[in-house]
Amino acid sequence: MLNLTKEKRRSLGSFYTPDSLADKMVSRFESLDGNFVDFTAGDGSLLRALNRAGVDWSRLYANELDKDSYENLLKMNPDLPRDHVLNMDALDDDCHKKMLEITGGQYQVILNPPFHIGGKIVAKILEWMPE
Amino acid sequence: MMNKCVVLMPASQYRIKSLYEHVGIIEGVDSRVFTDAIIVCNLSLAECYKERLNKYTYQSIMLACSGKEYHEYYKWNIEHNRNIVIIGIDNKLSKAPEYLSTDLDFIEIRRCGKCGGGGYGIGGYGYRWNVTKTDLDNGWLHSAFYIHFDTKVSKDNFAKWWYSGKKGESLASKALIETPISTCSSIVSYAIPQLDWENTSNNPLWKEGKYDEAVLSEMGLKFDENGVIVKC
Repeated sequence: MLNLTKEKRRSLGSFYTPDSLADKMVSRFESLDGNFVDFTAGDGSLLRALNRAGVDWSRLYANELDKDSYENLLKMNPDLPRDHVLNMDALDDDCHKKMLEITGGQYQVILNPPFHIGGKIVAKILEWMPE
Repeated sequence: MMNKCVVLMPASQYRIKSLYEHVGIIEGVDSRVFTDAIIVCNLSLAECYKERLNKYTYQSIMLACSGKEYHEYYKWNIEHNRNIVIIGIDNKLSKAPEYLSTDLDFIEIRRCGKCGGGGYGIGGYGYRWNVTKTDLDNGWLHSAFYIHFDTKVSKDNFAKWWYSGKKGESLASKALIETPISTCSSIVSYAIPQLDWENTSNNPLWKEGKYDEAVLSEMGLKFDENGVIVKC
């Protein structure tokens, strides 16, 4: 199912979330109302888990820094609106400004970031997260 | 409704920018679910919030994500901290740094934790330095750590305990494998028995060669029939 090679994903520090774990992560949300964002979407496995749980693609948003992974994300999730997907650095303020803009300033977050910079990304997300 | 961020990442990442203050709930994740990768850190699943909830300290985060069979052991070490800490040797060296002594400093490889490998038993990486006090097999020192002891007896007792069991079976091996020892952070020193190592050799169980049991006995702990550490 994955189009990127293991070597490519290792080079990015990316390990895509198995479905069972993705579903468990989704179950941690009390409410599946509103928008959801994955700022390090990879192949979109967490977005697909949200969709399996009943969240319409129109309420799902993503960001992916790596160009190849970004193209792969679009290819693997054809129902994900293209204008809901950013190709930016989640450590960059501009990424969060843009996400606030396209989501209308309301979202919850689901995330399996590259492990070596996960803490920095989560800190940035919480800084910009809507109240 | 508070906006939530559900995150899957290594527990050690919660130290960055005091993220642990934002955690509502956290649990360890069995990294074996990742079939395409060997995950060498303590993976965690957490619910984080924009607000500072101050429900966890960094140490309690690490503890929450460590092996539950060893919680009593970890708790004892936290409550009886003697500052027996794990310190990283960061440089790529071909021999032990001159500031380390075979009498007072215990050296082993950081991959004693989840990274696999490990330095337990007679085949341990640092066995020659720590026990026979001869040359090191070099080439691994760039990923090593050391623990300093105040006396030679303390260090020798600690080394005797460390190398007394087999990898994956001994207390040292099992207790450390659940912790991110590769970070060489003093915060994970709860995996190292914070005992008066000068006197452990006086324990009757020690004299019988039951080193793990002696160490636990000094803490008022023991293994139950399921291998869980419980209070005596």
